[in-house]
Parts: sequence; structure tokens; C-alpha cells
Amino acid sequence: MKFFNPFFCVSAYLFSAYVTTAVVVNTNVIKDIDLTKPLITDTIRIVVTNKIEDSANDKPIDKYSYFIEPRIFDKINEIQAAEIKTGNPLKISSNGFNEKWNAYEFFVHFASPLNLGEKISIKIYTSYFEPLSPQPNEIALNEKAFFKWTGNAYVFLPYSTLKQKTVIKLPSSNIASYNNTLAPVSVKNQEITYGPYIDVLPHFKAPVTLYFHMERTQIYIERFTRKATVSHFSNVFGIDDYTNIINANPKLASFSRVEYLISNYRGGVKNAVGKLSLNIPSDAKNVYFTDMIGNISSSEISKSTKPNMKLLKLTPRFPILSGWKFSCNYGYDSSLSNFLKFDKSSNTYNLKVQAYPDPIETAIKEYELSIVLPEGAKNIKYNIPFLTESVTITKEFSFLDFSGRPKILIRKLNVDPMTLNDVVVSYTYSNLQLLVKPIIAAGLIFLIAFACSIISSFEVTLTKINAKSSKNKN
Amino acid sequence: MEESKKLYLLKITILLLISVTAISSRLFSVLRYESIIHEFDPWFNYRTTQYLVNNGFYEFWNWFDSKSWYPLGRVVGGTLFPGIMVTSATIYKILDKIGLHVDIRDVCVFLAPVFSSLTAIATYLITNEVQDSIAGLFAAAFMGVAPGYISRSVAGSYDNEGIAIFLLVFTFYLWLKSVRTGSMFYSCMTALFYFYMVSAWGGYVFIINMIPLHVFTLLLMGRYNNDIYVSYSTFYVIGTLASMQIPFVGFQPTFTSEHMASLGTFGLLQIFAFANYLNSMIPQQHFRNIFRTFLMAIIAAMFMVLFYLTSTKKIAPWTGRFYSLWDTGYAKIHVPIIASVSEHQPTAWSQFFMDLNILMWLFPVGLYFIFQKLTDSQIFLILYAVLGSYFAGVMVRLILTLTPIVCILSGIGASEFYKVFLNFKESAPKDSDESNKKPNTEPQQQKKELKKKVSAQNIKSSKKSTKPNSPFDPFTKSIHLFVVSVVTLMLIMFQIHSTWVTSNAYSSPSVVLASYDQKGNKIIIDDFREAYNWLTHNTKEDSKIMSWWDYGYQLAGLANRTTLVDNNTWNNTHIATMAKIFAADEETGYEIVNTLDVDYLLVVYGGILGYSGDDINKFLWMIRIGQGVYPNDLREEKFYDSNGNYNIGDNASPAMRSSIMHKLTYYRVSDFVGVDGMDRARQQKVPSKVTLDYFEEVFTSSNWMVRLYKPKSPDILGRSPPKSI
Repeated sequence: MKFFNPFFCVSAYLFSAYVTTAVVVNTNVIKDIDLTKPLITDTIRIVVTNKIEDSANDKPIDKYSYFIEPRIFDKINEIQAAEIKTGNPLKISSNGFNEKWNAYEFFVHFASPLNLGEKISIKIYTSYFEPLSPQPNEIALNEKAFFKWTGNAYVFLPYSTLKQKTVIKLPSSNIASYNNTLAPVSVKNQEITYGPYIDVLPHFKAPVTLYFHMERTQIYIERFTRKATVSHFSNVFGIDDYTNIINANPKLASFSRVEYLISNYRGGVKNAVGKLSLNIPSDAKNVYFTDMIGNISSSEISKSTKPNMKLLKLTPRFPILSGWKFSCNYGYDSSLSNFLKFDKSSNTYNLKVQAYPDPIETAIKEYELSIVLPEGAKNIKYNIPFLTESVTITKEFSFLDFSGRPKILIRKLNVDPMTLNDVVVSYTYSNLQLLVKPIIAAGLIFLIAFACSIISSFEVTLTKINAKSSKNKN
Repeated sequence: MEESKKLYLLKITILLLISVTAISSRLFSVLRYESIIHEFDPWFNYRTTQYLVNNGFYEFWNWFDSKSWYPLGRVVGGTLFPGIMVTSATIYKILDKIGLHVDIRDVCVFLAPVFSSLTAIATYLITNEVQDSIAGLFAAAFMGVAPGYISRSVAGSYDNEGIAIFLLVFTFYLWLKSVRTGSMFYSCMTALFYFYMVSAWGGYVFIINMIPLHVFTLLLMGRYNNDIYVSYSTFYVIGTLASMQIPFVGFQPTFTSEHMASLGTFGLLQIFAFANYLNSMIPQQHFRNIFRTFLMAIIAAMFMVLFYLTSTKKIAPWTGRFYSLWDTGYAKIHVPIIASVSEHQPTAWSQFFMDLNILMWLFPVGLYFIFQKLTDSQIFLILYAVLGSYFAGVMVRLILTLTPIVCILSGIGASEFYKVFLNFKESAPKDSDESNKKPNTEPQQQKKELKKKVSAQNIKSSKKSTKPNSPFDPFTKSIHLFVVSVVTLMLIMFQIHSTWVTSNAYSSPSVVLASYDQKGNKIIIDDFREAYNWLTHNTKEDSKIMSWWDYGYQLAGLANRTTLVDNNTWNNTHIATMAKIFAADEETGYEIVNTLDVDYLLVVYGGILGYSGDDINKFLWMIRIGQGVYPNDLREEKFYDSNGNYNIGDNASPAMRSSIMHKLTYYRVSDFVGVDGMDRARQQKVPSKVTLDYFEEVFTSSNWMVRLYKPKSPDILGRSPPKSI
């Protein structure tokens, strides 16, 4: 809906009035858009009324239609609906792509059908990952970064609305420009309110563009993978993380080491990420910090404010300045017994896996967690306390593996790191498995020695060469 | 247990200890830095190995690399020696199959140390073949730790030489064995390992000239026999056919001068064999006359043909690198690109001492003993010693080919020496019993003792038969004791020296540097990887990076970006064009840079850290190389100041000051170090004002070592950026 045409919309509505019968009327709609968090959140509070419009069609209403733009659809982290009064969640189902409105349609199912003249207040919450686009595209080293946000001043709904308003919460009160023609518009600190608008037609849209400053550096992680490896044999719980950090601020027009040094000396460079800090278990050892070309020697470990933790500080190879990218691997081994509990009654092991390092708080575009269990683990069950795109169990072959280790692979797109809570995996494992590898390795060495002794006892030459006699020794 | 079995076990133990020593003394760099590929060429080998592992052999064989030599590209499969890549890929695959999943990088890093332990064993075999097992053990021990070889085979130096020296020694061993036994099996094995050598290193030419020379010498000495005929004919035919399977070698064995000696010898040997056959048919007197004239005529004719073919270019003339082996001044005048590489310089005496230390004195001793009883194999060693010494004197890096023979002869020298001086008749048996029981903590010490014991036992048995009773008087005994202890001490010193040299001179990856602060803490200087990694993350994938050729392989391997020139140096003109750009003024350079589609320019500057291998110090060589192709645009003397000095400061010559190299290097440096700041790599004042109109800085690493620029894009109307006055 880039090229918005109000006339088109209105005529479309008139046309549609003959096709569908709008029996729902929104008495009051408030939309809150929050741009201050890693993920953008939309909260719409609606008072829905089943109102007589066409007496021939006076059935009770059991669902409410809701549209999401294709631009956002791919970036959704989660979409929830709830009844405001009781707080009960409502079921949402997808109705696929609606070509007429060029948007994806969802149905919010009411707990009980809405009879004629009844009212219900519902809340639809959507969070999605969409970095704000920088405007202008290029800035100097310490220049203020401005961003652009485009959206709809109205709430795009397929029903007519008596009263509605849109509240947009911006990251700072430094607003360069906003559409003020769509009166009434009010600005209060960080918030811009469009509306309240009275008697709005269905499917009504009016684009607004906001330009504002953001003090915090906009960074996100394009891909984060964590691999947790369990080894009963050495009592080690290994963590290996890969992260690809993107500074999504405006691009740096040109870099000058001199200017960078000066501003660093004067108290810090704007729009830059200097260090990443994360808490790791206090018994973590073999800590490493590498990237695709080898070791990065600038990491340190210090005390953490959290109990039983220490703080790992990672300094990237180069400061991640405005518009720059960086990727790295880091990891450590810690004692398995702190994460693994054996349940005697059910004879199972319960493993707790931290899904995301604490306290990195940036949105993640692609998240992947793989948990590698020891070879021979059976009856694998898992409890994942967040939404996932897919969970698969595959095999992985590592050192001296013959049947392969079971690997739980969890994938998720557009993630808010705050929702990534600990994953619990339970499995059964026989301690006899611990003996398999040493026996196989010993057997192989024995076989090699045996083969050698057999080969050496064979005579390979056809005719015996008397080597000693022809060797000119004396 | 029987005596011989005990000795056998002892030898195996000693060899194992030598192998362990050989490997572990090469691990300094891994312990000090990390498991990383070193220097320049290994990065190419590493990159191609990765390609081989990921894409399979046929893709690798047909690989056209469009990421190097932009816009020309490079047919990688046909222009490299695939031996080392195939070796490590095979090892990787085997380890993977048996369930040991290691990183291909680790295979590459540890390949050279593992092969050096094999080299030590091969040295034992060849010395044992020529002399005896005690000399063999000495030679193996020397080979394991000789700095001349370590310099090319530390962990991470993933280069052809890493496996080629093993192949060289082992091929020679098989050759000597086949000559001695006349066994076709061994000559086939020789040919096979020769093929492996051809696939691994350009230095195979040494083998294909060394072996014919050996045969030719044997013929001249009248030592012709059927064994030689069988082994050489088999070796030459199979070896040559096999070597032609490597695309980079192709048909070279049929038409290049380097291979003509082997062909000639092959022909000569056939004539000899024929003559020998005739000899058994015709009476002696007639035969001699016939044979002499015939031989002379043949040799003369062959030389004439060779001369004719060479002069008419039917046979490819010697390449520049080979000419520089005869005339050390040749390269400097004709092929500056060869002379500009430090490892192609003539060797200084101190280098010999540093790389071979005490072996330099033991080497002639061994040579002396070899001359005592001239067998076919020993003649070979003498020839090798002579040629190896000559080549090592001409080119620094050929100390590498000298090292094996020095170790072999030193081993022989040392063992003969100990045989004479360790002859304490009374104490010998007691000694051997004691050292067997004594638990020894130091492996090196233990090895020495074991060795002594072996020799003592050997002497015991040999001397008993020759001189049954000649008791030593105390004076002679004490002299013996003194001499033995002094020489042993020197050998221990050699070991210490080798470790010291390895640790201090040969274990730096050169991609990563280390320095120490005032408190003595180690600081890792990682500017190269900082900049390369920046390029990987923050430039477009198809960006073209221009730099001097030294950094080409690293840019491709570490930053994964397209380069214009690299360490392959196959196209001199292209390299000279880079030199022309760096030496040109901004306006001219900007034009060429745009025609070549360059996105970024990389210069290395060591003035802040005092790193002397930077681009400004290489700049004169760039100009010399560029001058050969663009004599009208580049003049070396223009870049010296009025006093004829190489100056970079405010007194530098106008050409120097306006050159792109100078500008890119010193742009804004004086803002950082101050107007009176010093360039620590050259101990000169930095220029106070450097302007830059056509290029802009995009990145500079934290210690200013790597600086990246991009040419400013022309404006909307296609006009060049404005020039400041």
C-alpha cells in the first residue's frame, strides 16, 4: 500500500458493502505502537459490538477479522489476543492471504459467540522484528542518528469504527518531523497521538512518516546459533555460540582513525558497540573467542554481579561503528553436574539449557539452538517455553561416534531475547554406554597391531635378495 | 632376549623419541599464538585445500579462480603443485572416516611437523643404507632439530617444502636402495615417490638432475653394471611419464632444459648397455677403440643437438630463477621481482651458522669418512653434498635442500668419531647395564645416552674382532674422556641452539605479531586480521582490493575478497601496473585505478609500531619492478631526495611526496604522532602535511599497520573529485 489513494479505498469499501455484511462495529479502538524496544510491538484494544445493520443477518458473531500487512507478516515474532476483562487468551487462526486488501487475514475467535447488541473488549498484541530505517543513510562519526518510521495513522480494520486513536511511542523526544495534517495530532514528550478520529470507515488508511532521533545504537543480531553439547564421559557441558552483530545505524560516510581516537579519548564514540558482556558459569573453563580467521585475543573475564557467574567481556576485532558488521564465535565448557539432574524415580536425566546468553538484549532475526545429547541417549522429551518455527531431532557425528549423537534442533525467527527462557530436555541414558568408546578404540589399536604382525611375517619378494651380501660395508 | 632384538627395539625407541622431539620442537608458534596458518604462500595452499575438501577433486582440478588476478583470473588447477593439498585432504578424509572429526585447518597446521618426523625417519633409512644404523640415528636426530629445516616446517607453515623434503630424502633413499640391489621394485618405488615429489614441489628438478648426474658419474668412473641400467631405466621411464600427469608440469620433461640431462643420461645409458653387450661379443682391444670414438661422437652430437634446439627455442630456455642460480647478479638486473624476495638473496655465512650450527663442522668430517670407502651410494652423497652446498650458497632458501645431506654426513661424522673415542674397553658393558635401569627424566639426555650405548656396544663387538687386546693407559683414557665430553657438550649446545633459533626466529606466524609492554606482558598485535576481517564484514562480496602482491594470498584467504595481484606473480605486467599506480601522482593513479575497477586500496604502514616490512620500505622494489615495464613513467632516481637518500619526510623528493603510496601511508599520520613525530620504522620525521583529494580513508587498524582507502566516486556528471590547492 505504498501509493495510497483515499478515493480508491473509499470506493473499494462501497463496493465491498454489497458483498460482505458488516455487522460488527468497533465502539472504541486504541492502538499503541512502541518503537523503544528491540522488537516493535503493536497493542490494539478494541471494544467490539454486534450491532444490527442488516436485520436479515442477525446471527451471533463468533470471530473477529484482523489484517496484517505483508511487510510485517514475515517479521512477526508473536501474535496474541486476549479478552481484556478476564485476561483469558483468545484463539487466533490464519485465513491466509487476502488479495483484495493485500494483507494477511487472521481470525480472533471469541470464547462465546457475541449475540446481538453485546459488547466485548479484546486486545490484539503483535510483536515483530523490523529495524528502523536510518534517515539520512550516511552520517559522520559522531553525528546524531535519525530514523524514519512509516505506518498508518488509522487502525486498519474491516469494520467501521466509532472512535479510534493511534499512539506511537518513540525512542526519544527529539522528533525532526511528523505528519501534522491529519488533525487532531498531539505530541507529548516521546509520544505522538493521532486521533481520536470519529466514525471511521472500514479499511481506512492514512500513511504517516515520522523522523526522529534515537540515542541508543540500533543493533541487532542477524543470526545467532547456540550449540550445547553434553558429555557424560568427561562431565562437561559445552556451549558454543555464533553471533553475527549488525549495527543498523546510518552508514559511516568515512572513517578516520584520528577522529576515532580523539572522540574515544573525549569520552566515547557515538553509535558504536565496543564490548559485549555476558554472564557465564563461574566454573567455566576453556573459554574461547574466535571468528572465521582465528583467535581474537581481546577478551577478559571479570567478576559478575550475579551469583555463581562470572562476566566474560568480548572486544570485537574492530569497534562496530555505525553501519558496520561483525561476527564471532565464543564458547566455554562448564561442569555438567550443575545442569543435569538425575531423576531416580523415572530413571531419566533432566537437562536444563540456557537458551540465550545473559544479558545481551538485542533482537535476533534468526535463532537456532541445538542440543547435542550423548551417543545412546533415548526417550528424548523436551519442554521449550517459547514459540518455535520448527523442532527437529537429527543425528550428529562427532569424535569416534558410530551410531551418532541425537541432536535437538530448535529454530525460531524474529526473536525477542527476553522470551528465550531455559529449555528442559529429559532423556534416558545407560552408563554402560560410557565403556563403548574406550573398548572400540582399544579394539582398533589391537587390530592394527595384529595386522602389522601378520603382514610383517609374510614374505613379499618373489626371489630372495641377499641384501647383506651386496651391501658394501667393508 | 637376543642381543640383536634388543638393539632393534632400542633403535625403534630412539627413532620414536626423535620423532616426538621433531614434532614438539615445531609447536612453539601454536603454543605461543594459536593454531594458525603462517605467512603468505601457506594461505593460498590453505584456501585451495579448503576448496578441495569442499568441492571434491574434479572441481579442484578444473578450478578457475576469478577472485585473483582481477580481471584476468587464474587457472588454479593447472598452475599449482597439488601434492600438499591432496595430502592434507586425504588425511582429513581418513580421519573423518574413522570418526576423528578435526578441522581442516588443524590438519594443515600440523602437517609439516608430522612430515618432519617422517623426514627424520627417512634420514635414518638413507644413512643406514649408506653407512650404518648408529650414523643413521645421529643423522635422524640432527634432521629432527636442524633449524635449516625447521625454518620451513614449523606448525602452521603449510607450504610445499613441508612435505617435499621428506619426499626428497625418501626418494633418494629408494634410489640408493634400487641402485644397490638392482631391484626393479625399488626403482618403481623411486619413480612413484618421484611422482609424489613432482606433485608437491617445483624442487623436484633437483631430483631429476641429481639422479642422472649420479648415473653419469658412475659411468665415468667405469662403475657401470646391470643394476644401474635396470634402476635408472625403470625410474626414468615411469617417473617421467608419471610426472607428466601433473598439469603444471605437462610436457615440460620433453622440451625444457631442466629435464634434458635426465633424457641425455637415459640415452647414454642405453648406448652403454649396448656397448656392454657388444663387449661380450667382440674381442677386448677392438671394442675399446670402437667404443671410445663412438662415445665421443655421441656425446658431441648430443650437445650439438641440445645447443641447436635451445638456441632455436625448440627447447625452452632456462627460466630466470635458474639463471639466478648461476649468476647471483642476474636477477637483480633482469628480473627484479625475483630479486625483491628476501629468500632469493645469496646466503650470508651467518645464515649457515644459524641454520646448521655445529653441523657445519661435522659435515666435512662425514665427507672425509665417505671418501674413505667409495661405494655407489657414497658417491651419490658426495655429489649431493657438492651441489647442495653450491645452491645453498646462491639462494637463502636452498639451505633447505642442503640440510638433509649435511645432517646425513654429520651423522656419519659423529658416529665415526664416537666409534674411535668411546672405546673404553673395561667400562663399556657396565655402562650399558646401568643406563637400562636408570629412569631418566630428560628425554634428550636419555637419547644421547642411549645413542652412546648403542655405539659403545657396536664398537665392543667390532673392535673385539679387530684389536683383541690393546689396553689403554690412563692418560689416553682421560684424553678420550675429555674429547668425548667436549663433543657431547657441543652436540647438546647444538640442540639448545636449535631450540633457541626455532623459538626466536622461525616461530612467528607473521600474520600475528607479538610485542612486550614495559611490564613484560605479551601484547598480541593483530592488525592484519583486524583489517582483513573488517573487509570481510563491511565490504561487498565482489569488491576488488588493490594491494602490493605480498598481501594477495592473505587477502584472498583471510578476507575472501578479489585481488588484483598476488604471490603467484605470474604476470609481471600486472604487478608493474600496481607499482605504477602506487608511484604515480593522485590524478594519474586515480584514472588507472578507475579503469581497473578497484574498490579499495590497501597499504601497510609500520611507522607507528616500528615494523620495518611495510610498503614504504618495499616501495623502491616496486619502482624497480615497475620500471622494467614502464620505463618512461617510472624512474628510480626521482624518488631519492637531493642528497640521494631515501627520504620520506618534508625533504623527500617531489615525486615521492606526490606518489599515492606516500600519501596513503602518511595521510593524517602527523595528526596522530604530532608534527615532530617520528616514523619508527625509518627513524625519520613524518611529513607534516599530506593532502588527499581522490581517495578517502575507510579503515585504519588500531596500530595503523593496515590502512584501507577507496577512490572517491565521480559525481553525478562523471567528473573527478575536486582537487585542493
